[in-house]
Amino acid sequence: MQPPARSGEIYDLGYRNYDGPRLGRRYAIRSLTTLSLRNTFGLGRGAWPKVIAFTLVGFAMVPALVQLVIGALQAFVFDAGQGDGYQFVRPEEYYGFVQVILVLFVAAMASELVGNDRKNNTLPLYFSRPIHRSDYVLAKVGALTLGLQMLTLVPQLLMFLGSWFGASDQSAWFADNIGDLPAIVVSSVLFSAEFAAIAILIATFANRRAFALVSILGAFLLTLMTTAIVADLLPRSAARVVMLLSPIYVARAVTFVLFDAMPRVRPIEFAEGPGEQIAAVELPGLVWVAALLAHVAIAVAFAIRRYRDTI
Amino acid sequence: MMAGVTVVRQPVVSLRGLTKEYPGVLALDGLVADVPAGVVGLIGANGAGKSTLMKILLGLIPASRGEATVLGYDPKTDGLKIREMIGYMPEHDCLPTDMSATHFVMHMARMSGLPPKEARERTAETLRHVGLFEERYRHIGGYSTGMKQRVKLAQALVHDPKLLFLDEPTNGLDPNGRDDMLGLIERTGSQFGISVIMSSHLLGEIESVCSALVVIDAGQLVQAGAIDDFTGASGVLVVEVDRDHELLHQRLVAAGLTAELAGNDVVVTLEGTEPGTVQRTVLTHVADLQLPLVRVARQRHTLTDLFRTR
Repeated sequence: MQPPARSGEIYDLGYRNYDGPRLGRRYAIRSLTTLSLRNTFGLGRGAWPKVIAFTLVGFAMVPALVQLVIGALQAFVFDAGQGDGYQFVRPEEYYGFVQVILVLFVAAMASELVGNDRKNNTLPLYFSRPIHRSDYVLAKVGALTLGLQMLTLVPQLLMFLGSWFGASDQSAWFADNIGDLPAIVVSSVLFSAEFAAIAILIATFANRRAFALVSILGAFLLTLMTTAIVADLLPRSAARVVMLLSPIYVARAVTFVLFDAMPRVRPIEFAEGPGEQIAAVELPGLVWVAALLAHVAIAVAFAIRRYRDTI
Repeated sequence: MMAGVTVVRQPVVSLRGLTKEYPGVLALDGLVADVPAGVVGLIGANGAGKSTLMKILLGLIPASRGEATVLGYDPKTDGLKIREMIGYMPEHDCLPTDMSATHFVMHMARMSGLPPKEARERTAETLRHVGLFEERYRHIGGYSTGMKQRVKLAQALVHDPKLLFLDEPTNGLDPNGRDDMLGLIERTGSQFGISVIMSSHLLGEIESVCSALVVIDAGQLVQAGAIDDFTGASGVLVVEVDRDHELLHQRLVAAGLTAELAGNDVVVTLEGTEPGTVQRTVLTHVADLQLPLVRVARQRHTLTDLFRTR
């Protein structure tokens, strides 16, 4: 039989074959999404990713916490009816507040999701398992989209609860505002998908984390700033095109469409800020939604293409 | 080894005119071979096309022309099915540095479709099999090359594949680590019931664990077959005695054998004779002369000879 084991040698305690279930591709995708979602918050990674992720989540929660405090004050401290229905941030305005936090979040975390696997050469191990390459990309974009719900959907739901609890006539408030809930959910998912898909695409091209971070910041913030400046100077038809190419403009416009809260239209030369500029170009709502879906689809397609040539 | 057991099985891999062309490079050129079950060596110099062949068989890259089957499935259309049943250990570093071996191998088990509980159990068992114990909870980044190779093997084994592809599994290992790895590979093939296709450019290690070989060079098949076809006994018997080897030589020639002196050895040609008879004749004469016999052995070819003559 086996000679006595040397130190560090393999102890053979008998190998067992596995006859149990193999759950296949969908389960594998789910497993990858779960792990990636954890990595989105730096879980299972070092200290820094956790600190960055949870700090940004904390910032995104500020309006929600303020609203909850207001709600508590209204419910328990103020006289009935005082400041009733006050919303610290309207749902559609929330994205204006959180957009830069989202950019920082995806810039910091996208390379956690795809950069490490490229840097460590782990992709051959994934691609020799029962998934397609496109599944890998979809799991990563999906995980980041899900992770971003902590900065989009969750704070908005908390704000909703805060306003609700603060209302003097809660059932009336609920009846009036329940219609916002689908828009809150859909806008969170679409806004997050736009950010996730573009950030993942850029991160697949940037092997170094710092490079990914800068590129993602640039892609979102430079397009935001240049669009804000250029849109005022261009004729409306050209301004439309520029805005339809800018990820943040498109995402913001979609939230206005979903909440049916397009800002007041003014001529574009008087428009201030993305909201009024978006309103000024007077595009049909469906065009904005289609543009967002196209951004996501194109980013995912290019990311998949990027993996087709790997190993 | 699977001594004495001859089981005729379907080839685990069969290649029919398999060709892979890159712009300006013909990486694989019309390979035709049937790879039997067991531990099979895939030999070739660097750049011979070993890794390309493995990637095509895994369904990771498409072949330009020709057909292949792996465990009866076509990598072109049944890549998922094949990848559920195989394990792959790449040549180069492929492990995340900031995860523990346990966490990573468990994740890979789930990626292969094992339910969470089974993934956890088999991860513990597999890491024990490859010889990782308390270190398995530490981050892989702090592991030695030998430990990393064990983790790489563990992630390929954890889902109990039917066929393992090992690309240069002893790369970067010290002699002890290499022996451990080779022992593990041999037992994987013989005791675990998993077929292994192992690439290497080191003939000695292939010779020590493989039962069959596929030799490719510049994308072309050189030879494929059982290892005995390559290292079969040569046609000579080597007799080594401590003294009087000239005398023994004369006696053997006088007895009608074709023999020559080679240093302190007497080399007897076996061709056209019955090896047993020759051996008995030799032993009779050695005993007769009361010579201290060191060895009488049928000389075997080594793979190194094979390549030297090529």
